[in-house]
Amino acid sequence: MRCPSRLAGVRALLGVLLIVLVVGGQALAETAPFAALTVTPAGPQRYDITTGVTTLPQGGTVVDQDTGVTLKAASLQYVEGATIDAKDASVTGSFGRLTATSIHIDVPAATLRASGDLQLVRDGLTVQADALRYDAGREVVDFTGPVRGASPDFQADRVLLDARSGDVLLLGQYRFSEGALTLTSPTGGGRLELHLHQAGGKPVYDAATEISPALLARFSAELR
Amino acid sequence: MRRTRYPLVLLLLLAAGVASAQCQRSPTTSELSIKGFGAAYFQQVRTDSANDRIEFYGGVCLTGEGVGWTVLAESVTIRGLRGELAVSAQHPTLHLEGWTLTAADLQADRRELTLSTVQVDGKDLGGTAATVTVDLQQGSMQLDQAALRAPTFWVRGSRATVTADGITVDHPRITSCTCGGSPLYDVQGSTARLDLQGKSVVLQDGRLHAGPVTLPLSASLTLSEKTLKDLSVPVKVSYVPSDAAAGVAGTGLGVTVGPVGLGPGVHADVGATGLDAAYPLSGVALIAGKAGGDAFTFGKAPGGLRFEMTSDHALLPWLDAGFDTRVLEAGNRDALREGVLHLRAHTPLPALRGDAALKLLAAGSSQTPSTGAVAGARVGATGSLRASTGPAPWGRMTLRTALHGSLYPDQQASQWGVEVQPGYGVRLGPVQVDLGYLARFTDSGSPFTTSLDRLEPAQRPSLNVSARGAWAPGWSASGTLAASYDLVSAPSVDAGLNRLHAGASVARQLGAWRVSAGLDTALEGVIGPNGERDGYLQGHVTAADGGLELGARARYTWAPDPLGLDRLELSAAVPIELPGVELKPYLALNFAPTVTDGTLPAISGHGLDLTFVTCCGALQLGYRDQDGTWSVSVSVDLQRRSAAAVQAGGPGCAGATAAGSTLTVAGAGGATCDAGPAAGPTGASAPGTASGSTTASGTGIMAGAAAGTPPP
Repeated sequence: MRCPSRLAGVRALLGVLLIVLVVGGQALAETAPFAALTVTPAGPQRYDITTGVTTLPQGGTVVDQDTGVTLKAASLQYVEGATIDAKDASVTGSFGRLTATSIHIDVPAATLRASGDLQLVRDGLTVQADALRYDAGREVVDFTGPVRGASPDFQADRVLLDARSGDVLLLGQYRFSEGALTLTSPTGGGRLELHLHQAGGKPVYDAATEISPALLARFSAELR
Repeated sequence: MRRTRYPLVLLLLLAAGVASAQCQRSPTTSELSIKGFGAAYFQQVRTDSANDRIEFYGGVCLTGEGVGWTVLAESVTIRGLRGELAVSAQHPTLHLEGWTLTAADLQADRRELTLSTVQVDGKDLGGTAATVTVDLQQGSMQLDQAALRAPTFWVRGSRATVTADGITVDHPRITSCTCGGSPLYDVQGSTARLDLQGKSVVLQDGRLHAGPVTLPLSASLTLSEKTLKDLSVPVKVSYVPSDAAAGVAGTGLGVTVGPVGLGPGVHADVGATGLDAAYPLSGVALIAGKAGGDAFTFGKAPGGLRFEMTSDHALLPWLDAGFDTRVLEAGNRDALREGVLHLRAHTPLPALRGDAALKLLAAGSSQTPSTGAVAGARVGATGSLRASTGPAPWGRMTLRTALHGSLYPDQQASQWGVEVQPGYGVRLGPVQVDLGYLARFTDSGSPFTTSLDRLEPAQRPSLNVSARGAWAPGWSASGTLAASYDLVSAPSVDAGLNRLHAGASVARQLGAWRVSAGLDTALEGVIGPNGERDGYLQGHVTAADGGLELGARARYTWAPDPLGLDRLELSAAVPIELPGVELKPYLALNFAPTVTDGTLPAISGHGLDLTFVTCCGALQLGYRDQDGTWSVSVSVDLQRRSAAAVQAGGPGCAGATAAGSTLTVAGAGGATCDAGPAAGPTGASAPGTASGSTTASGTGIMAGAAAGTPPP
């Protein structure tokens, strides 16, 4: 039983809901992420039968059974098979650990949007931004707003992250610092590729203003 | 700090044709700052952390912290970011403190930057060097195997060190011959100091090489616009005629070479007098040396044997001691032989703006004046005091006093003297007025002549007035008045007006012509105590346009011989240009005899100037005989070159560079040179100004201003 609750009266209903979600998710699992979600409430939940919105005022956990993406939030709202909205949430997945005050998941589109005190931490990379959009199908993260990186040290108008390879693309006005070096974009803005590789067991980024064709292809949708 | 030089760097970039690299961020240019080193501005960059390297490409500008240096290159690679920084670039251009250096290769670390196969341009110099090392902290440059071109000379050396103060070249070879090939001459030395602002070269231990001839020069030779004008040339031409009235035994035409350096502080003068048939042939060979307070001269002078040795040293800060030995023979007339030992104590007197001194001497002297030989010991003391009020709006007062006392045991004679010499000077606008008075009381007891130590009584007031300035717009004017009066008679002077001279002149530029006129008179021979002094009134007008010279002069003489109108002269010097040489004959005719006696005019002056314009500069040789007074002139104009020098890409062409621009070289008739891409580094060099001339009358003058050195 994945949904422990003190209220025995609602257990039966939750069980039904879980079955519905799992079954519905299995139907979508072969076509997109977020298709096999398991929701574990941290408290009561209310279901609005007129809108189909389920609210978990004390939050809970949502796990994508296929990708392992786990969402924990202080409060949750979801529409079955459509959207999930979370407040003061964190999401852990192959792309790293994301925290934000607001997260919205579009289940059919397999995208995640986050904003507010947003921070993404992964091996060799810590990013803060105003907002991000994560394409779970292509595993591409698109950070917008003033984007700041603490490791490595950078700033940019926009940042794209290849969640598979860890490569980063800084866009617009940017600044990238490493040791005694500080690289600043042209005044008109530009692109800087940060290629991740391991050196001595540590993640290291190499910078290049000429972007590799492979990375351009990875970000072709975002750069359109 | 860095931003302040951006405009200049941008200009340099444009001049160099490197439009793709800008030394500041722009819409297409990124920046990478390297803490403690500088910054790079570039189109593209890629880092390679595995190999600890960064590569900039697509047009790069690298600027440094500290001294203002900038490197432009198509690509720059930096290694050792985590340790010893190493910068490298191919075909870079370095801009540093007004210098532009293009090279085949660049290597640098945080301390210095090294360029290989370098072309240098800037600050009136262009040229090449095998390597150039720049101290990035101090901004100094060291050029190895340097060959540099200045507007008026070329210099090569094993090493040239460039600092803010100037350029020092080791083992330099300098020549003013800028037409390529083997230079006609060069000057070599141990070091040369080039002051580009002062446009001077100071050469140490110089040797002049011209074909197979090598001529040592003075230990330290300064070549500049000023020194070339005041040229001290190693050859002297003199003509000393006999003057029975003055008791002068002439030596005729003489030529001496010197001073020729024989070693540190030692030089020689050699030659001969009496080269014309009217005078006996006589050799001249003098060697002179100086080291600290010691000096000597000995040999055969035109008048006879000469030996002098002096040694002066400070025993204490306030006490000097010296020993002098002199043997001077002048055809057995007024010969002098003596040895002198002296002590001199001295102290400054700041409160009086002066000083005080006491000199004691003991000497053995022998003199042979026309009145008969005299020889013996002499012991003397002289105390002196100088004081001044210092400059003030109302003028400056000075006072000099001296007490003399001498004993001559062999002649059982003695001499005393008291001298008081007050003075007052004041400047009133353009007018300087000086008043003086000499009061000397003495018993004239010396058995020797006044040329040695005999004193004569004097009471002589004097007045000097001079003025110089712009008389009117476009006009310059000057005037002098000098007068002195002897109140008492002495054996060599009668009481009365001693001197009364007055003169005035004006000058104005009228188009290409420089016109001047003057009037001066000497009246002491007219109103003085006797007729042996000068008394005349003369005036002159001259006009010259740089080539043609015209003049007129008239003089009326009253004393010492009342000649009346003895000069009514017209003169002209007309330049004639021939291939490779310019002639300028001079002729002056005196029409006074025609006016007074109806005879033909007499030649009162003649002369000839020859100017050879070569790629080494223009050499002018000339002589002039005016009223029996000979003068020989030599001038060197390094600015003026033959067309071959200009076409050879001389200094003037060095500035035109990669842009292939055409520029006009000042002087040399406005010759032009087209500097193509192969013409080397750029930088419009300011036309040089080193030129000079020297003239001398009476004792003559001569040649050989060694300016420079060599080699292409």
